Amino acid sequence: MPELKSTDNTPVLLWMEDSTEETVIKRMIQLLAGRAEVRDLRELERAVLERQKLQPPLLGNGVALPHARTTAVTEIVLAIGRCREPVPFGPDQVPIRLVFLYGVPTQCIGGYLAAVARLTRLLKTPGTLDALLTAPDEANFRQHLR
Amino acid sequence: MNPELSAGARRLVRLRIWLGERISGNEMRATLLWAALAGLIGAWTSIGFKEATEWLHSLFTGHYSGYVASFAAMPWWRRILVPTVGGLLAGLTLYFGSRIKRRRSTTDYMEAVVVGDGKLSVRRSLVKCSSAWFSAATGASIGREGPLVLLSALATSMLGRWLKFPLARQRQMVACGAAAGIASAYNAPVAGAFFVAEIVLGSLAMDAFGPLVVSSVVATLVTRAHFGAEAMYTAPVFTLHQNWELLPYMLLGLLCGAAAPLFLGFLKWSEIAFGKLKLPDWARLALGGLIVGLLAVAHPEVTGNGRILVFSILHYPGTWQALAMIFLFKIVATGATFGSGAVGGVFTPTLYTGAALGYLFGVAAAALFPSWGLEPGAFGLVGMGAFLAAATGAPVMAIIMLFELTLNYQILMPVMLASVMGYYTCRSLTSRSLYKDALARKGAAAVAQHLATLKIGDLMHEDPGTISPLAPFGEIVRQFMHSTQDFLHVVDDGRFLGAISLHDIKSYLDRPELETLVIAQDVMRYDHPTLLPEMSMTKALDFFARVGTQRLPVTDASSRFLGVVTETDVLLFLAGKPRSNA
Repeated sequence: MPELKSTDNTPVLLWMEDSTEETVIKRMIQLLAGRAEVRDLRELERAVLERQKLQPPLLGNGVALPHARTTAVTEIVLAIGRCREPVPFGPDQVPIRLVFLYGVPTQCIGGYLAAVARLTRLLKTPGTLDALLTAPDEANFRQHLR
Repeated sequence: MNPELSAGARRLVRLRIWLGERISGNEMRATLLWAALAGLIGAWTSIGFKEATEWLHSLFTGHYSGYVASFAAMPWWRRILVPTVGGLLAGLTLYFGSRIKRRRSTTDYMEAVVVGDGKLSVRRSLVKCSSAWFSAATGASIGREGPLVLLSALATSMLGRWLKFPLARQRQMVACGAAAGIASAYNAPVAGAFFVAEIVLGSLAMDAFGPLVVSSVVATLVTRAHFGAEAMYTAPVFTLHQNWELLPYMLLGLLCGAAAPLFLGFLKWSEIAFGKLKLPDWARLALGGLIVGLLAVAHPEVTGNGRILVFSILHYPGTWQALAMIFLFKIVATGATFGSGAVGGVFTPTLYTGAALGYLFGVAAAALFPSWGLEPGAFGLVGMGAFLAAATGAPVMAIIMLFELTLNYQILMPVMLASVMGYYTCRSLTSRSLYKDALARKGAAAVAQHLATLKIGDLMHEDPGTISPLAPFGEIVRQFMHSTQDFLHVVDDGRFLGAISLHDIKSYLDRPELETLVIAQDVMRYDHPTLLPEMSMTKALDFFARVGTQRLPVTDASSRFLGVVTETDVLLFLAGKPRSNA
């Protein structure tokens, strides 16, 4: 089953300047351009935005996990972004700073749940969320993801 | 609704998954539970009918004893009057009830089950049972077991209808009711199950047979608690001294096989003869009662179903000449009752015919070979089994029934041989059997033809456990907790989108953070197979085997969600489908 094994090759973008949910997501989708696992970048973007309209997956504490199950990817892909200023997400305009965007193949249910569960467990570790929000650079940021 | 699940609730779900992975067959377990309830209902309706018949009998005759003793104690004019009035009342009941549907036949066993969709007409069935009540209580030479089984099947049919069971399970419920009725009528749990399986369903497939066994056993236990556990026809202990003694029993089997078509032909003839009189129901049944009454003036033994006569053959047979005379009178009385259109069963009269025939054969054999030490009573027992096997066309049921009726193990081997001989002899002479005739009259061929055209859409029922694609993870877990299913069907605005497998999400049930992050759409399988309503049963079974689930959604070509079908229902349908030549 395709599953996200590590975040080492995950594109990370810190200090995003975008101010809306849609532009944040579109920019993060662009981070996945050229990846072998992504068959159709536009379709991935469309699927994620559509899923956001249904019910944006928000973890609380300024963390969002936009995602979509789509045939546009062959394996689970992840892109991570951090906004310079909080960006309002969803109909309740919840301020978000950290975004973990997943593209998930349609048949990959267990792998997706495993990846999300691992990430939420990591973010619940004391100090991790603060460290990610204040990491001065990408290398430091990645260190806290391991 | 608060989507957060408590730790206790999550533990419950884990337990449910643990059990689900170790014990499969939820649907079948449910069917067995319903079968047990059918057994309970069947037994109590049987007990009620028996008690009501005895009460009415005492009202008519002024006696609380059996039919023969009651009639023997009555003056000649009353012996004529009681069955005639009884026939008149039974006929009037049918006459007024015939505005629902005119009845010709009297062998009502099978209609209960072979009616096709398992839905019995309540009014018509009650009319028939009321008519049978009058006939049975006033000494008609016919069995009580017919209406008793019909009542039992009616009760379970009503239960199935009330619970909105799909077609296959509805029919299975009726079959269970019938098995319970037979089991409680004869104190014979095994034969009750085999009777319905062999004669009605024509299948011993475990999917259909298992529920029959459960309902038969439950019905017997309830009946025994009420009436006692004694064998219906306790017989003297029989011993097989030498193997060659089996030879005369085999000859008896041949004789029974040859005599059964004559018996069946006589019943048919008497029915035609009465039909030619073109009398209304009330007059025809009164005439039948009158004939029985006239015969009872000379031999009150002809009244009733013949159970007492079987008992006396086994214990106090008297002279063979007297027995032969009563035998002839009884056959005529049975023909008169059956032919007149009285509602009831001919099972017990068939047993009596076999017992009398066997006993007389035994007397002749013992006279021809006095040194062999042959026991005519044992021939009576074997004759019962062989004649029953030949007349019903169900040797397995006959062998088991005889064992359960007598609880005499030693007799089993001769009965097995004689039953098989009787069955083959009868089949080589005629394709007619007691129940085949009845089924043919009731249009069973048309029913079978209709069943052959049924598709998955006919077995479909409502799915109480659908879920919206936007339902949060906590709601999914909650639904699984309240359901015994391994899949939840995701439906949006009447359209089927996919299914959520418990197997896919079971490892993440203890993650409360997922309960608001993940919705049904995120974890559903898009490629879950669906059935089409026009699909055949066998093709649907392939789908069940492929997915390994017990329940599949049914959709139309445009993915509109129509309902669900369970594998058990398909298996029950295939196991219970009457043979095309039924």
